[in-house]
Amino acid sequence: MRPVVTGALKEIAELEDLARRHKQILLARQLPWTKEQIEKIKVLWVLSGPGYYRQPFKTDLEEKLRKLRGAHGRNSWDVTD
Amino acid sequence: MGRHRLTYAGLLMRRLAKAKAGIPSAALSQGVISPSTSDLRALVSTYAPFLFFNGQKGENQDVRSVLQEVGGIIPPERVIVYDQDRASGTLPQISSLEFPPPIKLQAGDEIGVITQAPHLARLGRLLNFHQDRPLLPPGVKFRALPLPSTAEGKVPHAGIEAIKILYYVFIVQQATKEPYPYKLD
Repeated sequence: MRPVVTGALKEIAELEDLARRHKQILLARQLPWTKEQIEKIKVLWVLSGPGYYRQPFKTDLEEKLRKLRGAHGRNSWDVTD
Repeated sequence: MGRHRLTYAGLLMRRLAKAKAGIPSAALSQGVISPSTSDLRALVSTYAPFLFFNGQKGENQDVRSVLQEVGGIIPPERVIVYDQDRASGTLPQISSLEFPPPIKLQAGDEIGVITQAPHLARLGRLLNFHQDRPLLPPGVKFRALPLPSTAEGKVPHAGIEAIKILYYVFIVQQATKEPYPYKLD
């Protein structure tokens, strides 16, 4: 399991970096892609949920995370949203 | 309903439409060109990529009502709000999804996927699972368009998504250890 977690966390860090890079470029009223790349983008798919991403930040998320990490038996896998 | 994601999608639609219409980025950056709302709406209608949203029933209703507001820049004809009879959650959101017309994806096309960065990592692993009936046609690229986590959410969101990835890979067995190969630029 450890390599899966390590890989996922590394990827999330890369995606966070990409998100910040894109944000900086867009704030400068530019686009991060070439004309050819822009032509290829046909659809923007916006995912809905999970609810814990809504802002302002949900302060009970730390508690939920603690419960998930706690591994109090199989019932702790309440992670379906 | 993912207000930040939808706002981001709307901004990208505007920028992509202007770029496709040949409005130079220098003009954008210097604020030289600032079309009226109706001109901008026409530009988006002609050049922007489709926005696809398949939220829950109430979320879809909210998006539809926002699109009907007078003076909006995003025209309803470029937005596909898709109703599905499904449970809440990321897996039900994608497991029976088929992109409806007028979306016709073919080899060489790209679909930009907008959600928070940690969520995108899990989505990629769920998307990669059903290789026998892939959501995207062969040759269609998945472009990651992540939103950054808030400062206070960065660590807990990464943690919760890592745990969920473990859950879907090892307990439910509906996700792969590696993500769908997406474009990161």
